[in-house]
Amino acid sequence: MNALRRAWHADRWLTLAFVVLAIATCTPIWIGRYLPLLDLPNHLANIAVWHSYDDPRFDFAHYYTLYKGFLPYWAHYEFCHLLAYVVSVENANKIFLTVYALALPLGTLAFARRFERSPYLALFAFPIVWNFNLADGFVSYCGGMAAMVWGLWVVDKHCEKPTLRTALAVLAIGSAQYFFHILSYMFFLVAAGLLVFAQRRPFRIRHLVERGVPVVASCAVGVWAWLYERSPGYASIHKFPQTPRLPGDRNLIFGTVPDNIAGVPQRLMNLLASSRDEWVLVVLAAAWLVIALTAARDREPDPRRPFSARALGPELCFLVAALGLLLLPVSMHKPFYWYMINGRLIPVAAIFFALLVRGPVRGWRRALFVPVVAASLFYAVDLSRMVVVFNRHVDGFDALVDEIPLHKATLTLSLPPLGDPEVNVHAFNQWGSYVQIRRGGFNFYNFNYGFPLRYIRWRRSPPWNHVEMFNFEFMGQDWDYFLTHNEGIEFSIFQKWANAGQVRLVDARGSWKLWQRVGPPAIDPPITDVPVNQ
Amino acid sequence: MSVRDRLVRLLSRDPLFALALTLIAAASLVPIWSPAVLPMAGWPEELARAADWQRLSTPSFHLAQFYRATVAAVPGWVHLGLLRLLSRVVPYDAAGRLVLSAAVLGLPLGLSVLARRLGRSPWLALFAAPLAWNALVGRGDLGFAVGVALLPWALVAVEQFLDRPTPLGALVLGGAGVMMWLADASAWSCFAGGGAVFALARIGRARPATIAAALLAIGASTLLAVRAVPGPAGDAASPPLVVFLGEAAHVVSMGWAGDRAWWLLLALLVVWGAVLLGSRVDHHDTEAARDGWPFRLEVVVLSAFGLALVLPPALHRPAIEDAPLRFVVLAVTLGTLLPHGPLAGHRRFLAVPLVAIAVMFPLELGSAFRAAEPRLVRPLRLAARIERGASTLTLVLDRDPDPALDPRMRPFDGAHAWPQLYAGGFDAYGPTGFPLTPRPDAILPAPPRDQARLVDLATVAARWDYVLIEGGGNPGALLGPDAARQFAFVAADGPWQLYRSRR
Repeated sequence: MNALRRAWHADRWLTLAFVVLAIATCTPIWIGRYLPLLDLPNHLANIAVWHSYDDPRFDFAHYYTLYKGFLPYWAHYEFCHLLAYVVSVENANKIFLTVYALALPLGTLAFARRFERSPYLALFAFPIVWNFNLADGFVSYCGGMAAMVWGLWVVDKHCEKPTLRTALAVLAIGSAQYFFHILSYMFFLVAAGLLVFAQRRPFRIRHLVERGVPVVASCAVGVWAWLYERSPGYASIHKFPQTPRLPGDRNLIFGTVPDNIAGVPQRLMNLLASSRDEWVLVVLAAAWLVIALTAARDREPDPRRPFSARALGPELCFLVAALGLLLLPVSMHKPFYWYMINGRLIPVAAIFFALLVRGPVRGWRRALFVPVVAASLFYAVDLSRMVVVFNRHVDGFDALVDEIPLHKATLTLSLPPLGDPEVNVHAFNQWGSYVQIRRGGFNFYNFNYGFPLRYIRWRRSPPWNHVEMFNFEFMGQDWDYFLTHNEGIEFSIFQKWANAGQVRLVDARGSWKLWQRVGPPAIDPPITDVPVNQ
Repeated sequence: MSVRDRLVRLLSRDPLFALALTLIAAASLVPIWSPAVLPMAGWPEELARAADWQRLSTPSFHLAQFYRATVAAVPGWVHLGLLRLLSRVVPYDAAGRLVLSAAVLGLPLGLSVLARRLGRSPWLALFAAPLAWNALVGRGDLGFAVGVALLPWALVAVEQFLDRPTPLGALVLGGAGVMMWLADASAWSCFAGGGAVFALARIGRARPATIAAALLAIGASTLLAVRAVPGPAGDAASPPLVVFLGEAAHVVSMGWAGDRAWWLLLALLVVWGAVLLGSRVDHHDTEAARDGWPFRLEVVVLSAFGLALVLPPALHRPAIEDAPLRFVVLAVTLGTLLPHGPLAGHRRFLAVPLVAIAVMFPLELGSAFRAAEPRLVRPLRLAARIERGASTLTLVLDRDPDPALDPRMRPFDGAHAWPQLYAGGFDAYGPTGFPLTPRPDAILPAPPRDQARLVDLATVAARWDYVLIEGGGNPGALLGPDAARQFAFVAADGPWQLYRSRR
């Protein structure tokens, strides 16, 4: 509260803008129960299995083994797991998202101040909170983005005046990056290294040791994981230590430079199905350009201060992100499948890009941030509206799930169209995870990477991306209930079997239908070796 | 002070700038003059349009039986007129290269004069040198190249008039407007809008009568636009904004095979960003504010980009194809001048990478053009064997990009114009509208450009004097089993084959 009061006295307009945008940016998280983020349901299912593994109501131990190794995603999962003792898994995740939504702009603000950039520039971080990585449900990575900005702030603070306390802080926050996401961790290590070398007299042995050792020590956890972590995904890296990076090699898929550039608007702010978010982006870009152009008036040389590479902190971080976007692969197929690599750096680049403008913002130039605040506010309100409308679209789902008894095998099939008219992602791709979170049991489409869960039993089911391949005669006996979404819009599966008396319609609400198989209970599959995806 | 005086003063005041400009100009001529054939698809089409216009009344070219003149005050006049004029002295190809050279050299030169007028560093104009090779020029849109190059000069004329309003100045301004319209409609729109902004930016500094006179002189050319025959109503849907924003970068410049051109352009962007973010002016921005509101150029640039975002792909009146892409190029070209303040002190070293890139870019582009030359020259060699006055059906079956060129360039899309340029006659995919329109009763049958394989070529081709075919493994087989009876094989060059009708 004191900090807020001090900020209010220092610059009431900036403080007001921050508070209003912080509230507006967090509102979409809480305004509706369900967030239409692609991978979110499966992450929640991972957390639910982790948290309730031994809870007899959910039968998770019957279908999965649990592996809680020290791997990326751990920060998100463990945070939610601990909070889930107090609130539901879904709300625990919303708290995590709220912390992220506040930490990213606040970290940007701290970073801007640290490198003598105008704190007003941190306002650009609010709309970036709802970037396309979040739309894809990359919650851990988004958390890692926020942690990374704070981590770089700590690194520079340590480099300025190294003490044991700051060294430990660098080590702690640097190592913590690993537990969010491998990409944000790698970005942190490279950018932090550059910040160390950008300091005054960087090559003096004493300086190098004092400043660099905590950063280098932050690599330890990553090196340890590389060498010893035996989770299936990582272990396979040892099998392919020299993954070739050759044109035409399909292990690493590289985009051309123009393709990578063309992807920038798509991966920056493209959550809404309408073009309104792109218009917000256009307004923000135009405002930034005008702010940058007019900065020439407020920029005064300080002849007393010699040039310092350290002052280029935001530029260096932007450079790392931009080069990452241009040089890293788009995705990787071996040694394990990794969807979207370089594109995840676009919001990171955007954060540091916003901070490239040097010099103070004062007088009438502060008014140039009015469109930034207005556009960000509009975007946040539009997102909230979208969440409300989306939740209306899934109306009926909760009531049907409540009708499913515990300890029953339920197959949730999201039939095309998998998306929602409000958003640009296939929001219903992984919707079955919500049934698993609340009624327990088996889900045929968990993330099968060996962390934190691994299948030990398998119920026959179609490929997750081809539910039309569901074969009732072959797979039906494995299930007690079938929950379908959009059945009858493009094609129907169960009506035929209902006419034949094999299933009965329990209830239908909105676009949801709950079917029960007629006959004996579903057979219990034996323990089997279900290979993890690589 | 006249524009010429200003130019001389600009170059003599800063010999380093003059040297840099000379180097860039010399390098910019390399891709124009070093290859035997320019690979832009529209290149032979533009040359053929000018040649057809010139030769319409020459009986041996057999053009009058297929076309009638439709000359109107529409965009395209300037470059086609220049081509006609120059063709009296040099061949059409050389005339085209002369016009393109003038456009490519005139752009940075004009921008440097405009920069000085607006209180900016003339060095900024050098950023635009590689942009003279934008993707529209890459398609061979010579009219747009000329329009973009004329734009800064026309805007300088506006400033000049606002400084010293005279009746002659008003006439020059009105003439500049007409010239812009006759060059390219999108560049003219930018001139009309930009000129109006420049005039209004003088409110409180110039006499209201001067501003009104400037607006009237600039606006005079709108009469031509209003009277122009509307173009066909475009039915192409606008791409989603997110796609357009991503692809807008593609249109700023053409490149060559591989990513190297993009790396050069990114390096150029980094240097420009460094200039922008390090610029410093006094608190009143005296230089930029000397002759008017200091942010008048910003308004023009942002308006042009705004138009790019809201316009449909094809405008009906005035008729502008690919309007959004054109306005992106215009916005970016003028946008190079946005940074305020001089390039002084240690920031002057930024000119080193700037000049290096601006020199390297056209040199590498020229190298790519030359690498493609052996493949591009084939249809020309065959077209040269066609008798004067014969009509040739040109069919390009494989439309793969050339391995040396920017994959967006499809050089053979315009190959159909080479036979007409050499021999006249009818071209199924040739000029429509200004300056020639085919006579409806004389049109020879031809398949749609990209569907040659789907029609009965033997029937279609029988009406033509020659058939020039590229690709398709055995192109002659497409002419049907009676090919030998109907057509005589003339020559082959690589995947190209030329047949003459036995009629």
